[in-house]
Amino acid sequence: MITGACLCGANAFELDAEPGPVTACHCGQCRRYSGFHAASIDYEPDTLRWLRQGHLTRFTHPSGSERIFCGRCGTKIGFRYADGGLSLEAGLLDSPTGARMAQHIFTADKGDYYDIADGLPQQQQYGSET
Amino acid sequence: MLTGRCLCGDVTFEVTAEPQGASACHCGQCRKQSGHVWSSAFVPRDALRIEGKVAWYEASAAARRGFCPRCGSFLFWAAHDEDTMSFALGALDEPTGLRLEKHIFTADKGDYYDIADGVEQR
Repeated sequence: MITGACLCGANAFELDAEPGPVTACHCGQCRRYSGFHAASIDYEPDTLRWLRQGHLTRFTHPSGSERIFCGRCGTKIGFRYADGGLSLEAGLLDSPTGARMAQHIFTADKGDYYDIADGLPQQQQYGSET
Repeated sequence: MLTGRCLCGDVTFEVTAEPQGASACHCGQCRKQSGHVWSSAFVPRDALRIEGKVAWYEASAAARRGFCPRCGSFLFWAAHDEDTMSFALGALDEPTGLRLEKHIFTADKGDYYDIADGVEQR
């Protein structure tokens, strides 16, 4: 079981599943949103149980994806892909998470001020490993 | 001059001084608010020109954290007792001309990743 809560405590959840691999996304959208780059785990909707919900705010990008965050404290909570898939931000998971970073995606768009040096697989876009 | 904006573009900013202390923060507050790790640099407060509405949240009595209320982008951090403000490196338009100088609060880092880039850790 994985648990997590936002910074102000308005939102808390349990995820009734083993954490899947953590994916780091370096696309321009995730970089603007997070301030660095994103890290998230995919999950199935029926495994997520909300303990509290408050100030949940959704932003739909023109590309069709949706960002979910706490409008009170700004904690990044989740992401809905344009195709409906769901992911949770790794940063709000309680430790020990039992999760591990597994890959970097959209590395062609990564910021110019940092290097990726952890030896994990990198995909310049997503869906075709390079 | 460096410029930046949030994901939706409602908040934009200009940096009119040389940024200092480019760092990646692994503290628990930044990890939650960024979704992973927050990277930033700072300038004197009057060298950061912000346009648009920013939502501020005080996770502690020492500092405030600024994000876009529409798209959620985590943009700014400022300690109450300092006359500087930090801005998110991820929000910057490129090229930034900056290099990450240090990882901070690494004792609080998440357990699901390693820091392996050789940059100084504190």
